[in-house]
Amino acid sequence: MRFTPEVLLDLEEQSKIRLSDERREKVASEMEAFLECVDAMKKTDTEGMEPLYHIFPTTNVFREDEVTNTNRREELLENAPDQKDGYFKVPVTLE
Amino acid sequence: MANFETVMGIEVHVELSTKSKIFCGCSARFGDEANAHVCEGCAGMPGTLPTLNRRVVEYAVRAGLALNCEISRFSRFDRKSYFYPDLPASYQVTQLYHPICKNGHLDIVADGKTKRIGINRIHIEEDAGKLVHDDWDDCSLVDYNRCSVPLIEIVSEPDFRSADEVVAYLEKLKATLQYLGVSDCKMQEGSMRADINLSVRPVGSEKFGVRTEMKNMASLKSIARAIAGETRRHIDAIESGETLIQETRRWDDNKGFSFAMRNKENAKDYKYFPDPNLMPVIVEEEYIREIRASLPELPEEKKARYIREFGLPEYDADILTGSRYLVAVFERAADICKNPKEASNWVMTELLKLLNDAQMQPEDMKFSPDSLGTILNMLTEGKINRAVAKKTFAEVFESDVDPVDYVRKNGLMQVSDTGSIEPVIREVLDANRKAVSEYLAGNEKSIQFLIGQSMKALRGKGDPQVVRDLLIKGLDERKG
Ligand SMILES: [Zn+2]
Repeated sequence: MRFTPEVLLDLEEQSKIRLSDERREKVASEMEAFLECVDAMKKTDTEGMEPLYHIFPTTNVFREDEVTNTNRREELLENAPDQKDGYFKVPVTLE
Repeated sequence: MANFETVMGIEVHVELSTKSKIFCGCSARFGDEANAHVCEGCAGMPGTLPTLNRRVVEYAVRAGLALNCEISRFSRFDRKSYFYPDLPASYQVTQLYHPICKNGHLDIVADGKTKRIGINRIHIEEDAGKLVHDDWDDCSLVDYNRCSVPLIEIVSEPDFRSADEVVAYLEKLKATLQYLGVSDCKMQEGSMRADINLSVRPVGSEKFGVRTEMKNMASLKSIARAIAGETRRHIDAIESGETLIQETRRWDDNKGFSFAMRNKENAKDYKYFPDPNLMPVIVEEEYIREIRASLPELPEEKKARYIREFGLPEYDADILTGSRYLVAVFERAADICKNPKEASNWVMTELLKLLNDAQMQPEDMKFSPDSLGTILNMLTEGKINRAVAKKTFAEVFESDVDPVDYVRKNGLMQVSDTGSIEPVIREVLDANRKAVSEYLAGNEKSIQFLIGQSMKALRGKGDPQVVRDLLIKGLDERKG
């Protein structure tokens, strides 16, 4: 069992999610099954093979350095959970 | 203290002077109202796709070549994940595994010695937004104007041993990047930020001590203080047997010490992985050659040329070439007045003094580049005297007046015709009998007082040589 309660708690913290106790057990076994797939892939001989980063053989996709967007602040802020004075408003976040 | 040495490496983040952001068509301009330059893409909304700004690659390659780096023929982008409101996508696009430039160096002069600082890598990444804390409402407010503005991060080797070396490096880096036109490098506006990795070890030891990182240093002066403060903290800890922790700290320049940061900087795992939405960048040899050919004359070459061609003292050449903005004023003035030494003297004395009095950086100057040369020409042609020239230049510096207009409108043309000056001299001699008799009694110094009175009567516009000659003539006549 690689997904011990400690590992799960750590992952929850890093992913900013909180699981209920019963979900936690289910998730652990699902993730274990997932890791088994990874184990199977790891057995493949990849000696001398270049890693594939993209499925398309495309490189150098650029746009020119031009300003094409206008000020749409009010529209963009409509998507925010909360706003104030033209800013996105969030809970107090300290450094 | 003498038994320890400080070992430092620097990471410098520089915002590139592109018109638009790195992956979208939003403006990258600084200083506009909050969230004026935000779209679905840079606000991190799902379903948007990034397209790389071509100029970002060009600027990164320019910087890499100027800093003697190898340019990677293949580079690509990775996602660095962390949760913090300044980063709406919850990941920052950067280049961890395949940076665009590697293995460069920059030569600096510190403590009178030239030293080569290794540059480990330069990579492209995007900036984050800005958080403002609202005490009134007990919340934080986010402005995404800076979010996705292109950055390059220049990572040095741990080659620094003193604050002087660090400051010399940052100044040289700033001058070089400004010359290249890839960034305005304004520390006070955050377009150049330095993170300092610092550790302390006994002199002679090969092993590095525990390293702490100080983030986002805002000025060269505070960097020097931060290095001294953090070095002291490390030595105290080592001597008293305390354990130092590898962590990110923030230097509080008012309190004079650093404290640990509790946020994203000390995240356990950034979960880096290749960005599936961005295609790799392939740089051809031909492209590198073109950019190399387009590089401007850099500070070092320029300094050597100023000494060689214009006969400037090394110190002056060093200061002038330390900023492309000083260079611009100097070269234009020298070109107009055909007297590089005079132009250099005016920049070195008058301009630096004006900048210092106004607490301004050279990049903040606003006046027309032709003005200093025009003033120097009026001065050599005898149209204005030196005092008026200085006054006019101060006016140019302050409010970008046209120097010729200014002199004419204020009637500051030099008065040098004998016919206008002689009656004034006569009046001054009549009104200052005491100084006259002192002079005649052999106290030659009192002529200075009479020159001052005459210049005052001529409202500062008199030709000093003519005034002096006529005064001596008038005094001689009164000898009796
Ligand atoms: Zn945008």
